[in-house]
Amino acid sequence: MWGLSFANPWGLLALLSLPGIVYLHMFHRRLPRLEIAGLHLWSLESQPPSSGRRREKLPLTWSLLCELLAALLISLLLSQPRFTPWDRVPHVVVVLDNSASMLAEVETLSEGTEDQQTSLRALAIAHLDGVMGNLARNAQMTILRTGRRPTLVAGPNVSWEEAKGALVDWSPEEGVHDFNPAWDLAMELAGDEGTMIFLTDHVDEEAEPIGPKRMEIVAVGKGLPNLAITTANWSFDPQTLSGQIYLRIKNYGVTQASYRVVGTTQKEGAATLTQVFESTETLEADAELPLQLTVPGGIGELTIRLESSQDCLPLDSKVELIEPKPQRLTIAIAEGFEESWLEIIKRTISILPEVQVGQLEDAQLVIAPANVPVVSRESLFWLGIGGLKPEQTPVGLLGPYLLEKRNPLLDSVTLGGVIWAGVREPDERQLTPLISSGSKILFARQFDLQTQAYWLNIDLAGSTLVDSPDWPILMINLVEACRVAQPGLKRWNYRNNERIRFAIDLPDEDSTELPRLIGPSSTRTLPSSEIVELPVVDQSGVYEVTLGESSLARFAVNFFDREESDLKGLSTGRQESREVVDPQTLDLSNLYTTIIMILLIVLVAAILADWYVLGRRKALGARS
Amino acid sequence: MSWRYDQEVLQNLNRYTLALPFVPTSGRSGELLGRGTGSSLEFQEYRSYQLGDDIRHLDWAAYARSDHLMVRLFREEISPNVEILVDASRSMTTGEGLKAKVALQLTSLFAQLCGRLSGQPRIVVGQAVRPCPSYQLSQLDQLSEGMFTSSVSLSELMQDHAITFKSKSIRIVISDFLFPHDPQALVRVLASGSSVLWMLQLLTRWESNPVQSGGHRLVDVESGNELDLYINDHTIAQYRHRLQTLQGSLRIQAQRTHSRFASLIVDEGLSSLCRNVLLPAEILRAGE
Repeated sequence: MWGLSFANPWGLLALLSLPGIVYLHMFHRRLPRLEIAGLHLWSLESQPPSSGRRREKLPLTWSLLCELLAALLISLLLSQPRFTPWDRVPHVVVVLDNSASMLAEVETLSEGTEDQQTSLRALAIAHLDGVMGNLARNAQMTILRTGRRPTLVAGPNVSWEEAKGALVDWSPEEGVHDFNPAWDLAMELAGDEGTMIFLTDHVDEEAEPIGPKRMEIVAVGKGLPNLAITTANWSFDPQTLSGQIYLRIKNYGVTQASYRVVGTTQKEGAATLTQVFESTETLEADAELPLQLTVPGGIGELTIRLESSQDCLPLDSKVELIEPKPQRLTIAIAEGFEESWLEIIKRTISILPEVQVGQLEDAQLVIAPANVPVVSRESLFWLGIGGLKPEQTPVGLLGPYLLEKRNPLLDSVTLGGVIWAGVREPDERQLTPLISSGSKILFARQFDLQTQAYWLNIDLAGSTLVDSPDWPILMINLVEACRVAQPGLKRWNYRNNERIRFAIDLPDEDSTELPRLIGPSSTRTLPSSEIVELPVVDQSGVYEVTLGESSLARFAVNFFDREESDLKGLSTGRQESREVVDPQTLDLSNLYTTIIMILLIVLVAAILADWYVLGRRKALGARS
Repeated sequence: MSWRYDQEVLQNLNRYTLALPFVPTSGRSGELLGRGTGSSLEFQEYRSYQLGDDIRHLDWAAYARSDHLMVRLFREEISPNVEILVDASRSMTTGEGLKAKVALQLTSLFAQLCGRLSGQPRIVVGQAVRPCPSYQLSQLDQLSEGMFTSSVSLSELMQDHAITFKSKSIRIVISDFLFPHDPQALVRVLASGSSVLWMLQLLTRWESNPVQSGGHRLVDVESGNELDLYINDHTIAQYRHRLQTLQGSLRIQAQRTHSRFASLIVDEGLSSLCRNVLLPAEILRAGE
């Protein structure tokens, strides 16, 4: 059984011509003239004298039938009929290339004479519109977008009208990524009968076919020039209270290009933008230029735009930066250390970045002798150094050392050639060893406290650890872990798809309100946790984490991807699917073509027949 | 175009003669026998000699037998007085001019046949001028197909006395008779004072026998009146009934006035019409 649907149901409006034709025939509006002699012999005696038109019984003439048939066929052709099995609905699974290069803008010739800018994304949607227009009206589709995690844009199994609405929000901003996860998911969604289309911006028609055999690849790209901001960073110097902006600008085109970089900010309460800096340069083809600009402190946010006639990808030409607000970590040194040890500790602290020495109450990191009781406090780090049982005789070790490499504190720590002295046995406290040698625990974490307490079972003065490169690495790792554990952002400017993790200070534990992440185009609710770990953020812009009315963090994500910024390799092309979807599936295009041809032949025959009938009448009239 | 030398006319001119009636008619001396006595060789009767009789007609043999002067009377020989009335209304232009062509061919044929009988035919063209123009045999070439432009019917012309006939003439009326008229009145006027009246109705085949052709806007070429009509079996049957009624009325009136009526389908051509219609109708006679 076959079903009939219409790709363009508006074409059925042409059926309104049918009653029109009947009306014309009924009221003899188009009667051919026939010159005769003796009209009085034809007059109907029963005919009522009327000055207007007469309505008579509809004469079933060949002309009427031919004209009705022609009008019906024209209506069918206009409405683009599609024939599909009743029990089978065409299903198209579309995979959209979510790479940022799909936002590249190309010039297309509009209906008028002027060129018009349009994005490859719009061209892909237009192509999709054409594909779905050629399918049956009841065709269903599923749209995926590629990415590190393939995402469903529309569907599964929705109509094209519904999918079009979903595509309005599609904004491809991913960096370089693997398409295979999306293709695999598309294969699962397509099942045995669905067809697959991958819409991208480049395909190498000469190269070995890629992707699933059943998938057709359509590329709508075109080789384009581009200028991009490949790096943007903002550092703040508390000493001078000024900031440094580091930019790198690259010309991906094949010709020399001039550009203008403008940094603007919007002061609080001001309606207009204030220009902070401006730079105009010329870049040779494939050249990259670093820029360092000094900006005053307290700006808050900065928008940097790259303007050039050779710029075809707006996404990598705009950067939003948030002014960093670095906070120094306070380290307290508890009393009780031997002088030699104290000297080593102070010397170590002096080389640590962004730290200061303070009181125990204000400290985020406390370095204390091992036998000093640990103060239990959230977000407080505690490093106890020395033996827990001083009465024991310490031992020295040459290794080998077993390191818990998964712990970030031991990142890059090797302990090669280190002589570990002053090793004593632990007491009853619960410890998780991080560094051990045989049965000896050398470095461990204590777990029965709110404080993140670590125990370093060592004689600082007698070991070579403090003289090895492992010591500053270990201490920096500790300080950084402590810094990360403190509420608030540690970095304010991220690149797309970068993992963003920071702690927040939840003011009220009993509050049921959840923090929210407000992005450039969407808002999502975050779990109520002191550690915020954001999923991969691929959309550029300024983000803010709020709790109620208060802002907990504000940071920027910018697009930096050298491969996506290089648009020279984009191309238009097609790679046909290498496998027939289903041998039993109807070949829509062939049948459609056949039926259209038959309809056209019948249409021409109907028009010729009508012409013949009318011509015959005319001839008869002339002969009379 | 010369209708005198039309090929079909010339062919039929040699085949036929006018089938003039044996009943004597009036006319000048000629080949046609008149009602009275004349100088023909055909013996009619005897009568007593009267003063002034041509003594060449005295029957001397009878005088020798009876001593009574008897004069032999011979039948009078007259020339036919033929008047051909051609309907020049626009209705004669239907059939792509075929009707007008046959009308002119018949006119030429009858006129020349009359001429061969030493007659002086008079051709009256029923145009919308007063009086209607008439032509002699020598003016035959002045007739053309372009003269069929009149919007006045024969009936109206006769009523307006735009056409006058000579008394006791042989009248040949060539028309389609497809104009609104009273057959009785028309035939009476045409036959009035005539010795013989021949009415030839020219019709196209479609006019005689229309076929189904769907809806049409019928336009009367003469009056310009229009009628939207679907030409189907029903309307055709009604048309045929009216046409047959008209022809029947004309035929009856012709019989009553000792005239002849013949309906000719112009599509058949002049030769066929002469052979199959005019000859049986005794309007033409096979030539000797």
